[in-house]
This record gives sequence, structure tokens and C-alpha cells, in this order.
Amino acid sequence: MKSWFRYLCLAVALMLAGPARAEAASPDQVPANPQKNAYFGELHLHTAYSLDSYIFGNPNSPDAAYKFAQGEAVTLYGGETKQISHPLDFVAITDHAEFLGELALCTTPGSAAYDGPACTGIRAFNMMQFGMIAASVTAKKRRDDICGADGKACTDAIKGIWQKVQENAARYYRPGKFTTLIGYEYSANVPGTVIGTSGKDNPRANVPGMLHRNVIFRTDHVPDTVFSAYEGSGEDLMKWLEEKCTGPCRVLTIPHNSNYSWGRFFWEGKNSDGSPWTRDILDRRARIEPLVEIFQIKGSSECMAGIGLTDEECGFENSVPPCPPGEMDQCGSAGSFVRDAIVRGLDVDAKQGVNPFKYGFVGATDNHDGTPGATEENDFKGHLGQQDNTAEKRLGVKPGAAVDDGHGESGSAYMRFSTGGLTGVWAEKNTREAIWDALYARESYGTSGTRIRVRFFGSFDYPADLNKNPDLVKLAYAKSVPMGGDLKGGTGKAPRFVVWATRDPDSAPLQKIQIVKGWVADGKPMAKIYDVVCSDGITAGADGACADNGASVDLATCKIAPGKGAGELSTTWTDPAFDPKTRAVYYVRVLEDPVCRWSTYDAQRLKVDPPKAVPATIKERAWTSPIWYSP
Amino acid sequence: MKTWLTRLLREPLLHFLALGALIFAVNALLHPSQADDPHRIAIGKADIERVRALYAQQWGAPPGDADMPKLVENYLRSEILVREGAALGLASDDAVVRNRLVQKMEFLLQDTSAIAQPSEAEMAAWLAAHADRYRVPERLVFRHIYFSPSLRGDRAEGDARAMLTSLTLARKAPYPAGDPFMLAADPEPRDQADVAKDFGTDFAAAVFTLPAGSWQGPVRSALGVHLVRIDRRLDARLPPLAEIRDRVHDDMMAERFQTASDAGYARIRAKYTVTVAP
Repeated sequence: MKSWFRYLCLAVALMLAGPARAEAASPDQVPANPQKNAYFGELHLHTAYSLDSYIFGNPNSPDAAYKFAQGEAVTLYGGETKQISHPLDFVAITDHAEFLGELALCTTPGSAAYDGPACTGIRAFNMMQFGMIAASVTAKKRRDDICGADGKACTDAIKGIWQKVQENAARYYRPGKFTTLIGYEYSANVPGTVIGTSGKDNPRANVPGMLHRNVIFRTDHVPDTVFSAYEGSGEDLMKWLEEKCTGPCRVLTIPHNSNYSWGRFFWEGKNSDGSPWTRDILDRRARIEPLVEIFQIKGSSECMAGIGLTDEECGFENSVPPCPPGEMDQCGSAGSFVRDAIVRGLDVDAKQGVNPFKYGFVGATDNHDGTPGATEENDFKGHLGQQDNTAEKRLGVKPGAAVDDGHGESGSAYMRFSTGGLTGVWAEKNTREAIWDALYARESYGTSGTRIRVRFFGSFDYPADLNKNPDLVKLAYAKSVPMGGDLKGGTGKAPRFVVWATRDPDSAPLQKIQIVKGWVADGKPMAKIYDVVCSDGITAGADGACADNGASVDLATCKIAPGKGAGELSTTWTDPAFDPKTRAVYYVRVLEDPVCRWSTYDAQRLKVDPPKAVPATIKERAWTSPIWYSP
Repeated sequence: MKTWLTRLLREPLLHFLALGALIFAVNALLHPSQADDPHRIAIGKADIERVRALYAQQWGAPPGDADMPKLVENYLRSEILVREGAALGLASDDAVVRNRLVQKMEFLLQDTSAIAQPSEAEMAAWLAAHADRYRVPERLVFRHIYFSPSLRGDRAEGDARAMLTSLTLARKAPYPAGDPFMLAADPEPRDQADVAKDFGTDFAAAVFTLPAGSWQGPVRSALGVHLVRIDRRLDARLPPLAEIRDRVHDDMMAERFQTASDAGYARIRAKYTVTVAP
């Protein structure tokens, strides 16, 4: 029977190899639009090249993922098919760096490790084997029963599969139509997290803290191997990248799931291992890490803890419990959330002359089914292979069950997860160079999965009604900075911002646009939310907030009641409380009218009531990269 | 009767028997001399080594010699239970086990060495036979003037009508710009799905019925109100092979793989006599 596996794995190896084909059209020939287009894409996606995805039984390789992104249907674990509603413009497949070598050895017949208990266990989808591999990452010691005592068998095996990652990306790159960015995920755990007990009175997320980053390269000039959590910390990763990625090689990193970092991602004054910051490390972070993933399947990282807790929209899609005061492990605290970080970053900048938290925003799925951008609420089919491939597993309830039958608070943990987000990028054309450059310049925004288009510009010398000018975009690029940029100096006059958003025709109309302002007062991070334009003829009240527009959804059919919300909203806004001496950061949040959450669609499929532990509807949204003001 | 059949087809034991027979058949093909007796278990040196390694991995130290008989007995116990469990069909209603077995079989059934690359003539014939799949749908090059309800409120549609009248009188470019519109003017031909992605399905459907060469509307989109002028209409067309050779090649190879797999299955299937209740 053993030869069976040989055949299978030979076939898998052939699949992994795939045919190589050069791309004919040159990126230089693609015409540029100086006023830029919004391109939608995904920068965080796992395929069967990721060991966890493989063990969850996901059948989809990078080939399938690239095809899916361009509109082809793929088959998921369990046999269901899935097709994206509209193709993506770009994608970075980011398989885990950590297990590339291990996976290669365990699926290559004849390798020294192939017939060992670890590899046979992995091929039999043994979760214990997976747990042991995951634990070896925290311990930073590769498993000697797969990799040999010195780990060399695995580090050698990485090179071949890393080569295939590059070939796959080359094969599907169609400049002007579909951009593939070469990348991977670096997945370190918080060193020495103690997993405590969790209970009703002490809610805890029982997982190690995540200090995960995606590594995204500009072109096909990349180092000849990857840097994984076995090799060092996130700070070491950045150092290594700057040493290895030189000349035509350009790279950026994007931290994600800061909500699961147990306060370590934006830990003021401290590196991920608790050691104090050094100037080198801060400078490097500012150079190489312009973006943060603000939203994905494992929830929102915008603002659950830290500042802004009076902001009701901070309750959106949180999947970790808040920390009791003074604690940080297995729960959400200030150092885990993006809004708190970008505001505290102003203070670091003022004191040290460098801002390590100068983050623009992107959104992604982090899905492990090889289906990039599969964010539709009405067609969610899970994201972790056999773990959550049915509505029953996702909600933890049997079809037709009564509401109180193991349903609600005690239901599946998967129901707290989201369908994931997308990234919008303003670029002159759809090529690797143009998309990456826009990302590096932070001219990007994250969404909760919807395809809102949103522009955001800031200037000291706009007319008050610039948003009504037909030449708005041309004038804005000529006279101001777009999202991700800096407003410096000025004459003490308050800056004006133009913000302009259009709806996703497949999702709900827009409800309002908000500007979130952050600053530091007496060493304390502060934030204020302004509703800058409301739909349905509503004007913001004295408290700066739009009255509710009365939009509603029928929970039995998920149909949106017609007549509410806007196809488009725009305004030119001046900060009413501007202080020219104080550094400030401004970002835009665009909110849609409510739609049914995926869990409500699942409940309909199972003929049960929507679960009570999560909202039945959500307001999809977009978050633009900030604009920073400094005197 | 039909529910009977459905129930029978859902019967795990039937699945297991079918799969088991399939596996047995292929195994016999691959190992013609090997006569497997399901009640005979030979524990070899390699098996004992694996037991020892697994123990060491779990407990951090190799087992002592005195531990070994018990460990081997445990291994034997699991091996026997796996065999008996499989015989009872317990594995066959487990989606993970079933999918993997089926996948393994599919790989085995594809004899990749026998699959030939398609010739130029074969690709041309394929393209002709599958024209529907490769036909590029009707496309339009259009421009539009936008009237934003966000800026004009209820006047958007009336303003559009008024402008249409003046455009009809003027008839010549340059045309007025309208309100700022989020998407850049796109001189590329676009099919209906493309237009729907940005403007919504109703707008796309409406625009594809408009006559070319003059200003039309107002047409409502998900974003607001538009006057639309179609400059060029490109009929649906079938691209020549040279334009889409790679795609045709890949599709043909995929089909040849599938055919090989189906043929392999048919060879095995032929060994079975299957009756299905009417």
C-alpha cells in the first residue's frame, strides 16, 4: 500500500511544478492614467502550499487561486464550488514561510523524512502533527524528525518551492489586466505566551499571540530564499530583508491580526520580545513597513481597545474579548489596535524624530481555501477547509434546530469570524510596479469586503467647494496630497480635505462618510469622529453626528428596503478644531447601509434564527490610509 | 422507488464496498503477485522503528526495551481496529477519508505519460467545436455625462433632460463635463459584465440596448443619473487561434487529462456488474 502514497505524491509534486510560460506583454506598454484608477485586490491568501491549509484538506494550489481571482470557479474541500462575483485586479499569494520546506519534504517521495511518523501523520491530516509543528515555531526550532538535527534538509527544500512560488506568479501575471505580486507570510508567535484558562467570567482567546507579517515584493527580483519565524523575530526579518533585498529588489511588510498580537504589535517602547526599542529598529520599521492590515477574516483591528471607545463603530466585527485593565495576554488591549498606534506614533515622531507606526491601510481575507477576495456575505463558504466548510459547522447548529438548541452564545467560534476584506489601490495602471509603488506610498484603503471607491485629499489651499468641480481629481493631484501623504507647515490656516466615495453596486448604498482625527494632548492619545457628509439630505447635528437614515434589511429575505442611502457622497471639509501647533492624523471611514451578515444567510440555509452571539446585519465599510499633519 | 435508490446510493456500506473493490482492483493491478490476506499482519523492522520514533517524539526520550512489547501490542491493536473499522465502513462516511481516497484514485487513473500535446490542426478543430466558450461578447465604447444626486438632489434627472435637449441641438464635441465622476473615462471596449461591475446591472442592461452615435438617456445607475453616447459597438466575435493559442492549449490538455482519467475509470468500472433498483 505504501507505493500508493508515492504515486499520489508524485502527482502532487507534478502539480506543484506546473508548466512555466513567459508573459508576452510588457508593463511599460500598458497606458497610464495620471488621475489614477482604483484597483481591487487581495494581499493575504493561503493555498495548499501552506501546511495548515494542506492539513485542513484544502485542495486548491496557487494555480487554482490565480484562476479563481480571475473569475474561474474552483472546487472547495467537500465538493462545493465557489466563484468570485467580479474578478480581482491584483493578488499576492502569501503562503506560510515557516513550513514550506517541511511540506516539500513530506510530499516528495524518497526524501529522508517522507516515511517518518511526522510526514505520514501530516499526509494523513493528523492535527496532532500539525500542533507539534506549530509549537516548534514558537520554540524556534525546526523539527529534527523532518528537517534533520541541523534543520538543513528543510532550509534546502525551501529553495525549490520558493522557486515555484515565483514561477506561479510569473505565469499568471498579465500586465494591464491582472497583477500577481510575489510574497509570503512570516508567522512568528509571541514568545512565551502563557495560555491561561478561559471561562464565562474570564473570556480569553486560547491561542498564542500572533506577530504575523506579509512580505510583498515589487517585481520578480527577490532573495533566493525566505526568512521565517524559525530564523528570527519580526525585527530580524526586516533587517534580513534590507540585507538581502537590494538593487532592483524592493520589498515592504504588512503586519496583520494585530488584534491577536496580545498588545505586542504596537507596544510602545518595546520590541516584540519585550526588549527596548533602538533607533536602528525604529528607522527600519519606518522604511520597510508603510501599511497595516486593518481588517480580515479574524476581525477588525481598527479600534476595539485603546482610544475611541465611545465610537460605536468600534464594535464592528471584533473577534477577541477585551482585556481587563492592566492585562494583555489572550485579549485585546491598546497595543493591538491600529487607531491607538497611529495616534501614539505622532508622539514618538515628536520625541524621537521617527514614526514607526506611520501606517496606511489595506484589507484582506487570510483565507486558507485558496480563494482570494471571496468576501461576499451572501455566498460565504468558509475559509479553513474541512474545519468550517458547511453552514452547520460555521454556526454550530443543526438544520432546523430550535433557537436555544446549542445555538447563540454557545455556538461555533467560527461565527465570530468575518468573510474578510479587500484592498483598494489608487494607481496609474495595473502593473506590479504601479500597484506596489502605490502601496508603498500608502495610496490605498482597506474594506470589509465591499468594493467602495473612495478618494481622500488634503491641502491648505483648496476652495471650499472643490468636491463640486468637474476637474476635481486633476486639481487635487496638482494642489494637494492624497491618502497616505503628509501636510507639513502651512500658514496656521486649517487644512481642507476633499473626500468622495461611491458605492459598490453589488452591496448597499452609502450611509455616511466620517473623518477620524487623532492627536496627542498632554501625552495622552485622543480621537474624535466627525460625520462629514450624511446621505438622504440629513445634515450632521451640533454633536457632529448624522441622524440615523432609517435604512433597514428584511431578515427573512435579506432584501434591502429601497429608497435609503446614496450612490455617491462627497464633501470638502475643514477641521473645526485645528491647532497649527499640534501634530494630527486624519483618516476616512465610509459606512454603508446595513446588509445581512454571512451568518444570517447561513441561518436561512439551515432554517434557524440568526445566531444571537453576533449581529444579524453589518454596515460594510472602507477605511482610507491617513493624511498626517505636522507643523 | 426513487427515495429507495437515493437511500441505497447514500448507504455508507455500499460506498465502502465500491471503494474497497476499486482499491483492491487497482492494487491487484499494481501488485499482481501480492495476495493480501486481511487477517495476516506482519510487523517488520521498519514498523517497530516507527513505533519507537513516535514514542521518542512524544515523550522526549526513546522507550526502554521493557516498554517495547506493550508499544508493539498497542500498534497491533490500532492496526487491527483500523482494518476492522474499515471493513465496517466506518471510514467511508468520513468526508476527509473519502475525498482523499477518491483523489488518490483520480491521480492513479491518469496515465500522464500517454497524454500527447495537441497539434495546430487539433487546436483549430477544437476552437471551431467550442466556439461558444471562446466567443468575445458584444462590447461598447461609450462616454457619459454624470449628474450627481449627492450634489443636485432631486434635480439630477431634470438637469440631465435639460442638457440632453441642448446636446441634441449642439450635436458636436466638445461635450460638457457634467459632475465629477469617480471612474476615469475608459476608451477601451467593455462588455456588459464589465459595465455592470462599475455601474450596476440595470444600467449595463439599459446601455446595451441604446442606439449608437447620439446622446441618449437619462439612464440611472447605482451611482446616479447619466446621459450616454455610444461611440462604437463591437459585435461579438470569435478570436482566431493565434490570439488565444495558450488558452486553447491549456483547455485541451485539461480535457485530455480528464479523458485519460475517465478512461481509466471506465476500465475498472467494466469489471463491475451494477444493478440499480428501478
